[in-house]
Amino acid sequence: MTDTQPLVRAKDLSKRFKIYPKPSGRLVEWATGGRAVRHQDFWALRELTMTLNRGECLGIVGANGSGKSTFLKILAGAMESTTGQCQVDGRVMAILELGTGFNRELTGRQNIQLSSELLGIGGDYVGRQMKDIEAFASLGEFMDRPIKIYSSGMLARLAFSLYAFLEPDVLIVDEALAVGDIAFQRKCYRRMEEMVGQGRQAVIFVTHDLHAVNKLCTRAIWLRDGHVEFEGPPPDVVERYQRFMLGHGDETTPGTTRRAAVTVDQSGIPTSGRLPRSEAAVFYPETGAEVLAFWLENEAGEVIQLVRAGKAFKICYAMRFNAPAMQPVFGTRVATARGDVLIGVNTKLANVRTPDYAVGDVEIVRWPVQPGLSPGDYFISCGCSTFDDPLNFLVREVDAYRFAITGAAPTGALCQLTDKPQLAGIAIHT
Amino acid sequence: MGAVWNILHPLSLIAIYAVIFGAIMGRAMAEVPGPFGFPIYLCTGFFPWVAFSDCINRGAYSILGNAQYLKKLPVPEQVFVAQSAVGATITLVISYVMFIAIGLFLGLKPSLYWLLVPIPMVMLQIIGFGLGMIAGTLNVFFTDVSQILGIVLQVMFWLTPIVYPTSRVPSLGMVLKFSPATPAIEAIHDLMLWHRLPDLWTYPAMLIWTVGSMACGMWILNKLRGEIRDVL
Repeated sequence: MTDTQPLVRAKDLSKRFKIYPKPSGRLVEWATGGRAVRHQDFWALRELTMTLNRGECLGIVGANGSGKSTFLKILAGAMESTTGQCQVDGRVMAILELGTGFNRELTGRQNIQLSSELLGIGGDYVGRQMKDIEAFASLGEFMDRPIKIYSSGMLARLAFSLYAFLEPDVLIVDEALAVGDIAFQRKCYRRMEEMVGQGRQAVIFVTHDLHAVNKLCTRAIWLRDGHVEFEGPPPDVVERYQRFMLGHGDETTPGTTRRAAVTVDQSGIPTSGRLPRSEAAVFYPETGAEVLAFWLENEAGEVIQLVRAGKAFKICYAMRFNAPAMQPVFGTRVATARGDVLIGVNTKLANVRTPDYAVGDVEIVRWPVQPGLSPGDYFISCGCSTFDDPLNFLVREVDAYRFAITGAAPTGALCQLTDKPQLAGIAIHT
Repeated sequence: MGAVWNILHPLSLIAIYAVIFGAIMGRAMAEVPGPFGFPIYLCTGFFPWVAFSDCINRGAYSILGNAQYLKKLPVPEQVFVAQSAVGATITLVISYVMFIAIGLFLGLKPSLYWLLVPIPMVMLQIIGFGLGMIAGTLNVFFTDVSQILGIVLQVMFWLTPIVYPTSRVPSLGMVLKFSPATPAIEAIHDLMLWHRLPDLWTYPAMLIWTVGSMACGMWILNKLRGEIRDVL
């Protein structure tokens, strides 16, 4: 089937929620025919326009509250837009949040039947697909137990298996996979690739796992404040979105690596372009020293906010001592959002002797990092402890700063080799 | 026991009303022949009333209670109201069959007029469906609706000739005619007990209530459909 018509066409889609501070306000508005206004407007979507073709896997990224869920609900027909049109040529199935329209008292199998009936799909068809659904979900005996005893991961298995095998024209996957285990996620991604690969179906994939967007999607959209902020190939969209989330969004131009106008004070500490503190930061109440600034530098020594995959960079910080310190040990750590520690180093392990510091002394430490880390988000910790006891901290900030490495990820691995593999062609004589 | 409760519940209520009012008003009654005239009169109107009030009561919660589906699936709201109405009607059919089976032993006289009974019964259920849609829609926006509904249904019950025949309360005659269930219940009484066609006034009254409540229900639901899912 070659269908040149877009499968989904949304034009100038806007959605207003009326917020009533008091429920009686609604009654007042009804009674006066809307002349007395007792509500505030909240626009969740503002003139959103997009299309989706068969054979596409569209990634949607955006911060919490950017309108992703509202848009998907309108697309799935579970909500009406205030203005604008949304046309869908086919059947949309949406895994919105967890346990899409499931009844907690019924078993997994009964829920599959009930959900398909609510979607207007005949029982025969579901009966024929049941084997595939069951095999894909691989819930074993839980298939015939009430879903109220399911874990959230098992619910995700049930929901995804159901919708993926009912052959929708558009499958919407909204964060539902995040709770599944790794093996199931892999299976889901493969299934989504299959669906898209045949060119008949389309997938809309909403996630905060930007890595997965890069890997799976053929196109991506960044939603911001209810409209499409940027649309294009996934790596470009992800990079712009990441940059925005790290707090540098407004200064960027598309497609160019940004050079910040960085000013440096007389001691060599940049006064702008530093890394922001992360939301996940844990600060310990040590008082021996404090971190004045934290930043990244490229090989040329310029301050950068984003690291390109395959480039070396330096993790830098400036520390001021509020108490005298004898040959203290500086350390740093880089971890993924999941907590895998990729780098853990300190000056003692590196056999670097540090001097003694008096109150008010400032030290700038730079850690060169070789290329090889995969694109993604990273959290950096730093600290300084006494020479004898690595646990006696003068200052300790865990997961305090966040940075991102951008670029397309060839595989899901955390690290890449930067050198080419070598083949030693061995000839076999027969 | 599940579905058995649907029968036991109205049966227990009938037993209570039959015993108490039987004690007050006597087991026999002038309007209905036989020694069990009063319980038979009571059952004739009581079961349709229970189904009717079930339509409204369950309808009032049907949209709110199925929020989990409505928030995520493109299912029209009235499906769930209709589900309540159909459920109540099935219970009515079962309990009425039971009532007739027992009633025949207690002096209920069969008649060809019985074949017409489904018409006022179904119309009564449609009125209940329409009012259920109104209650269900408003209940999404104002939680007080279900409380008010309880009072309204109580008043409506006593303003419908179910426990007493109209002839006993001549001073209330006009008032009773305005209760939405009265025309249908009176028609059922006529067909079941007195083996005659219902009074002429009941036809337009039933029709007005049926069309009116359905039109009103659909209008309110359509008017607020967009907002229902925003609020759920």
